[in-house]
Amino acid sequence: MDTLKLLWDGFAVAFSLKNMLWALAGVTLGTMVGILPGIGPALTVALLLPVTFGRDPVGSFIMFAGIYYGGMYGGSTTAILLNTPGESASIITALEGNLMARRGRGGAALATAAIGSFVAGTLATAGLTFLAPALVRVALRFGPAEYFALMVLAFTTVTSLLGGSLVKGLTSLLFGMALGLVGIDLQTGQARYTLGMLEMLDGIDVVIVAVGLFAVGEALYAASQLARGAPEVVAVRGSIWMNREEWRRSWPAWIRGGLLGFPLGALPAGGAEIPTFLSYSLERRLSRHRDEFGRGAIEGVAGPEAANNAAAAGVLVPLLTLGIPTSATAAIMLAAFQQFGLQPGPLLFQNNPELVWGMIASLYLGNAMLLVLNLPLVGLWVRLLTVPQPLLYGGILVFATLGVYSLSNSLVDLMTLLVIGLVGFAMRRMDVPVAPAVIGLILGPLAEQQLRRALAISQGDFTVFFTRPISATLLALALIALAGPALARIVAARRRKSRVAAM
Amino acid sequence: METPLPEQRSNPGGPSLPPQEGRRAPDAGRDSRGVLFTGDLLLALGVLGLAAFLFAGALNIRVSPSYAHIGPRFFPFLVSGGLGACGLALLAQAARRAPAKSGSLEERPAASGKPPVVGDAPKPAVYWPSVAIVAAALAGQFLLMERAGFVVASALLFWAVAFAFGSRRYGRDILVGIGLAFVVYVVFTRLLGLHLPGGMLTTMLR
Repeated sequence: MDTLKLLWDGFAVAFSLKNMLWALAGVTLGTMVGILPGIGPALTVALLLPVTFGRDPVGSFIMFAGIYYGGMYGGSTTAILLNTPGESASIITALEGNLMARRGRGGAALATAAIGSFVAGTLATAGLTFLAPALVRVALRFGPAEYFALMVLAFTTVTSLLGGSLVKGLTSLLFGMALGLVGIDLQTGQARYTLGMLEMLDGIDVVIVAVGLFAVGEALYAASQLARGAPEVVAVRGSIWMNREEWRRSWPAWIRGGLLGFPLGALPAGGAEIPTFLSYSLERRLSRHRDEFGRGAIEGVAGPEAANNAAAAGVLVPLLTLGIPTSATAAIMLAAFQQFGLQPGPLLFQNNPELVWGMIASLYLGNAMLLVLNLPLVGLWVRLLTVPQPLLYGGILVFATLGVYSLSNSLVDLMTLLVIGLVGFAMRRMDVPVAPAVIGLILGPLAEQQLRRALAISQGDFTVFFTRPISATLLALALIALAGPALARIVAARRRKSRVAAM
Repeated sequence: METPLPEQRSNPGGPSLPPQEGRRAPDAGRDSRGVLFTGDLLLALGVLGLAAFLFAGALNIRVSPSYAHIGPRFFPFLVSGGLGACGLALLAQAARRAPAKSGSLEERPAASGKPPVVGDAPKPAVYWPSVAIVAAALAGQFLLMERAGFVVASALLFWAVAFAFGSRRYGRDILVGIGLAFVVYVVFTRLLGLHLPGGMLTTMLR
């Protein structure tokens, strides 16, 4: 029971007054920006990165973890009351939750989302606590070939499962990887794609890209869509507490959502989007009130929202144990680790147990804080939804330029921000997902390093990736992830055709 | 307001809501398949251009002859090759959508029985003036940050963005902008110890 001892030590770290304040700051900020329409936890962590640089890493990561969890809670409030899901994982919550709110059960929808997030989040954090050390033991045996294969798998799942079009997802990923090429090659010291600018030798900071794509690109897109007007906020009417019937219908959905979300988030399977969809169809199939689906069924909020939060905790498993981010927020967190000179992976658990276990323990604490912040105080947060759009985007861009400028007090960074923002606007307009670009930027250089290391060890022999069993398995999985959806579509089409022919 | 409203979620091309707070209402829904095609074509060409740029750049990376293993050029070639392939695929998709043949395009997605592709629906028109103002405001932040100082530059940015988003309460916007920029400046430089260009405030606050 080594794990429990480590977790206990982690609680000792998390429960120090200073770190509890960091956690509180994190969950409050996370809820706040999660509620603001149009910005998510990835952007918040990116904007706060320069601020925490040079400070205590333990406190900073406890705060980042709080922002991460808080953003999930806040996002559900926006989805229910405004029907504008801030991230793809709350689309389902917006579906049934907003209908509930319109029927006057907005309070119950908010309550089942918050309590479900707490239940599933805590379950999944427990899963993280016990799965992570086991995975660390496996990961210690990984060599560069295995790491490279793992990253290829992450690339394919992220691009084929996020968003609608495989080609557009791949384009976004490769665009991020291209940005990652800029700067000095770590192995040979050669400058690449610096356009002769000294400022580019260090590469393009992930903060600039994330803020450019998420804040500037988003603001430009919102400006281009003015005609559609601001979405309407549904007022919370009636009791915010659930009645007995609603409790009875909610709790099995929470548990099922949690059990569905955590493993799918922990596999590098493209974050929290898939499990919420699966949970929704599962609840719909199991419900005795199937007719209510599409008119505001509480199971349709409870299950997906629980799955969403459990998957968010699951994403931390590959991030912490292998250093592989599978969502945009995880990619920024990885960049945060790098800024502190830390590399997530099995060695982090050995060398920085205080940091890792303090952060994991703070997740339990943060979940409890979020329950309090989001249930009795929800009325306060709802007011944020009424901030007029002009002031909201004005503020977002002031903070965006501030965060980027304070990276290194360089005007070149501000120019780069504008250029990447314009690219982000074009991507948004053309339905190219932006999250793969952020993941590619972070993971691309790491993948290149592992590839070249593996080939240096094998003396340039490419078969090394296929002769080592773990690496070969991972690459096979990657191929399935890439070809699977397309194959399934072909098979389905053929089956439909044969059925038509049979008739 | 008591009656439940019909769902308004993402109805591209649908009737736009009445303008609020002095907003101008551009003609949404003007977009047609032709515009969509142009966008797809531009995207494909942009991706191909980036691939070509990366390829040319990769040729210019110097490789020391003593370095035996795969060098700094390999990965750039890989990325540019991948982008080139994506660009060609996008080009093929755009060509399939070209608005040439007998105007029967509106019926095609339904007739072919294929599952609808995300992004196939016509998008509402872009309101370019607002986009241009926001972009110009950001360029202004770049030009003014070190000349006029953070507070002045940020207040102007805030005001211009609010204007682009349809606000016409100039006085309120500039006051909120100055207040926000000032508070942020004090918190970041005094409490968090970051350096921000003060401009004229450096002498005032001393």
